Amino acid sequence: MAYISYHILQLKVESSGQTIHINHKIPAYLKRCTGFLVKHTKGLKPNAHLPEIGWLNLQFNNLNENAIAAVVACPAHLEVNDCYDFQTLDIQLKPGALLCGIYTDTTPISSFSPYHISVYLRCTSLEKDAYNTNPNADKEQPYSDSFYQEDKLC
Amino acid sequence: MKKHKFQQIRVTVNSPGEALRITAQTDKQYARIRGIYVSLPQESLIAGTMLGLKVNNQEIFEDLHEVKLLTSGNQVAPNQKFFLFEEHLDAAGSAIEGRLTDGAALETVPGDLTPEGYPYEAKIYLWLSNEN
Repeated sequence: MAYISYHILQLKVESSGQTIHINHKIPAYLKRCTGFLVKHTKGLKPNAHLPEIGWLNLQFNNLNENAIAAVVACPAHLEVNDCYDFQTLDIQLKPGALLCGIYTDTTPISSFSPYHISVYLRCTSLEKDAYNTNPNADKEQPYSDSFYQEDKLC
Repeated sequence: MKKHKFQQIRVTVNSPGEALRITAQTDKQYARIRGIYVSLPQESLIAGTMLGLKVNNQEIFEDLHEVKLLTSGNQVAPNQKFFLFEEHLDAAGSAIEGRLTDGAALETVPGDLTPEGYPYEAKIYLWLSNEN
């Protein structure tokens, strides 16, 4: 039985400085969101790491919980030394509630080309304490948990 | 009998942007799927490539899930390469369904020339185990 689901929200940025409004319904069977990861998927091919290509703000449960305010970065093209860690969240999802927010592109104009970003929401279909969805619960990592066990891609 | 097995699923990608359906069955002698690792022959093929996965018709990864999150480079030790499933996933002859979508943009293919790197074979490794 699968309890953990990685719900993905993909955003397509087509013009420099674009602001994308997000109104997304998370499936009702998902009860909790336990982590998130935002990453550039494809499109940009910078020669060097871009520490900021945009800002993401997300509110859960019909604007009731402002949970995510994150800078989105883009590694250098063909860079292999990038790490992907899920940031820990613990949000009880109301059935049928909307995930709302905005994404604002801040990519330097010289580096811009249309691109995609993906927001991965690690969700569980179980209530709190029914299943430990944090793989590193025993470790002292208050701010992030290592999704990729050890140093994947590092 | 051994407690672990690494079952391989091979998928041949013939052209950029191609989406391929995957069907397989896990080895009946092993109780659970412990982890997954996806191997592509070149680093450049990883960007944008996506893998959706269902086990016994239950969605594990959506079709938009990036292969980059399920693979690792040579700098990672062999016994740490796998993405481990945090929960128990039944193996024991489970039906595996999936969809592999190549990450290259179709419009980048010049004319009728076969683009560099194609066709290639993607390998999906499932770590099967009898341990809890």
